[in-house]
Amino acid sequence: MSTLELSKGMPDRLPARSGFRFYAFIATLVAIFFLGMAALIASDYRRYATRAELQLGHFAELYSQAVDSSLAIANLEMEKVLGLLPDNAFEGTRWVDDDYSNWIRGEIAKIQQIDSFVLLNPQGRVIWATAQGLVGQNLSDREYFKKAKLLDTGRFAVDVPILARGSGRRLTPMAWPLRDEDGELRGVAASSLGEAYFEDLLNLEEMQDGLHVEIITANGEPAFVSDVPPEVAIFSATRRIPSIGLEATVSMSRAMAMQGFWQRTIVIVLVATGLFITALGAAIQARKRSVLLTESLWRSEFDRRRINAAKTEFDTIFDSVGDGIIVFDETGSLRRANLRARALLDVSNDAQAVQRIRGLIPALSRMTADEEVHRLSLQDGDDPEAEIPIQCRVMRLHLHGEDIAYCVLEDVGSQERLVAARAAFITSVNHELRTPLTSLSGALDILQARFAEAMPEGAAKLITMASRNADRLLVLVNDILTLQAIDQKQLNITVKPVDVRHALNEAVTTNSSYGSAREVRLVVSQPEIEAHVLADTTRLQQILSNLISNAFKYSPKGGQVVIGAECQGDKVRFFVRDDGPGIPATGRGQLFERFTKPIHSRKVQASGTGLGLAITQELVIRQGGEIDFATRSAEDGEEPSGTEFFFTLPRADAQA
Amino acid sequence: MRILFVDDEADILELIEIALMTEDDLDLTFAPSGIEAIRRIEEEKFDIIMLDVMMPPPNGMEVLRYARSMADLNGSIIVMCTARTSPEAEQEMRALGANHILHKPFKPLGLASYLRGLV
Repeated sequence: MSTLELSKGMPDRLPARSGFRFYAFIATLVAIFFLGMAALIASDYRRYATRAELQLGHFAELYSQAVDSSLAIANLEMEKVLGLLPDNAFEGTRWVDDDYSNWIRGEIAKIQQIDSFVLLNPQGRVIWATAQGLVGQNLSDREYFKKAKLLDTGRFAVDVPILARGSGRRLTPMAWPLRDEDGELRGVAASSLGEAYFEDLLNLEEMQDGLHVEIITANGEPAFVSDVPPEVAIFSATRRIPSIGLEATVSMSRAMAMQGFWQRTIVIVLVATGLFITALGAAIQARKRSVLLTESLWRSEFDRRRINAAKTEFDTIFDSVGDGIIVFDETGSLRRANLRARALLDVSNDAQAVQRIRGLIPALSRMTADEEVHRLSLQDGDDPEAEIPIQCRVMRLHLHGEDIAYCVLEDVGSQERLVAARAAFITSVNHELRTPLTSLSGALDILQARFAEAMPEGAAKLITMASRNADRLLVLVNDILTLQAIDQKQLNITVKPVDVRHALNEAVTTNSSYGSAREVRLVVSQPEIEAHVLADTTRLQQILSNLISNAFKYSPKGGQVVIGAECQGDKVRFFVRDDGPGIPATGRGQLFERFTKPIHSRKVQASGTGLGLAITQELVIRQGGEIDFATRSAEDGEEPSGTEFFFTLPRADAQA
Repeated sequence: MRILFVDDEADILELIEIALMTEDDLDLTFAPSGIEAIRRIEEEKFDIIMLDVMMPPPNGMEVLRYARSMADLNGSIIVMCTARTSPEAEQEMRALGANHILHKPFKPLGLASYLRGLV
């Protein structure tokens, strides 16, 4: 079951959920925002327009009322003046003396609304006027005269404005009928409203700048126009002035009406757009974040599944391992044991397994090395009589700053039986092969030594050959058995301090007889001080014997082999030196290889198994040493020739 | 010098006898089994006992243990003859009282000088 299969429920990637919907939503929001803004501006515009219209209407109302009431007052005052006029006033002009004129002028002057005054007789002839030039003129064709003639006392008529000669100003004529007690027309009094009058009234009303006021008479002629009219006057209000039948029109320009509107609109739009963009940005940002969050959530879910799958896989493997595995720490927060470990310890759960193993091995804190091997003997769950030999390898690991014990329990029972069987086989082969060979070789040696002279020449040669080959066979059997032991890691090496002088002496004792047969002397060169090396006694002797027998083989008759040792710091250097022919340069490279081809010429080459140096090197290395050689070869023309093999072993009593 | 050779291989004993035949100073006794060796040890006193390890019971180790248990044999030099074995086994032999260990195969012709070197 693979990790990927377990995470099948999920797609490999997060489904690419399109941002289309989100951005469509955003676009809709933007559209709604702009529509809303437009609606807001439009309603604001209408509000402004309405306000302007209301303002204008209000003003027009105010103004027309002002004009109306002002004229009503003027009318009352005029009536008073007219009532004081003598009855004979209209019978001729001669009655009007200077005093009387002055009186009229004085009275007229009291009436603010009017500045000029004309008295007409019922026929329309001017009988008195503030402007002397008019006296005697007939104004019966004037519209105000005609209207006034038909009116009752207390009423007045207003005519279309006329342009005053000279000043060019507009004057709106007014006329009052003068009737006697019987209602008979006695005459008509006429006056005019100048533009200044309307303007004064306007000023009294504190007209706003930018307002335009027009007073229009019934026939459409303007009686008063304030200022210059605006080029485009779109807002206006008209009110009738009932007393004089005029219309007051107040208007203002768009710019005036909309003053402040645009500033307000721009500010609102800017602020609203700013807020909207901020909100939109925040929304987009939030969406991106949420997408990222979703992705990471999805990823972590995916990872979780993968981890779960891997964990399941691991657990399966962990439980199916043939060796028992227990992992725990000192605090007890980590306690794992696999199936095999629980079975070996005969417990049912992890906690019990850890408890059991902690009782069997030393505490983690008391471990001297990071790896220790303990021998345990556990009772067989199936057979209470039997005990299972267990090898417990404890490794101290450092994980997250804590020490963790990793124990591997291995049932070494079957392995040990196999080892024992193999060892028995090797021992028996050793014995069964070597015993007859020993007899054979010994018998041939004695035959050669004692009876060679009595034998025919050919027979002696054959005996020598048989003897040499019997020896060779013996060595070969030994070497093969040794190499097999090395290869199968069956070679037991037990190092302990070994006295160097003692070891050298033993090597001389064991090997000198072989040398004396070849008339080669074995000389020992002892170290200057007493020293001990860490070595396996038997294997050290084997190394020395191999090197000494090689040296003997190549030494000339009457030659000398020197063995010795010297201290070199924390090591001891052993050497075996001969004055043989040396090793030619061509053969030096593969000297320690197994079954090397003969490296000497046929004349020089001694017989051997081709395994001796390979074994020797293995033995040195297995004891923590190094081996090498120095040689001068006669074949290469180096004189004096000779070879020195040397190897080092760690000193047991090394001085710090 | 009285020497006892113990080995279950008759050929080996015979070979040794031939090889050392010319050495007049060596008084040789041969025992072809552990039983015979024990009987000889009880009867006589030897300077050197050459004891083969691998024999039908009682083997060399048992003979060695028996010989060392006899107080009057403490002066004898006991040499264990064995094919190469483990250091543990050799250590055990020395602990039981073996003085030397002679690795097989040994050369019968070199035996005389080896034996003389021991004393």
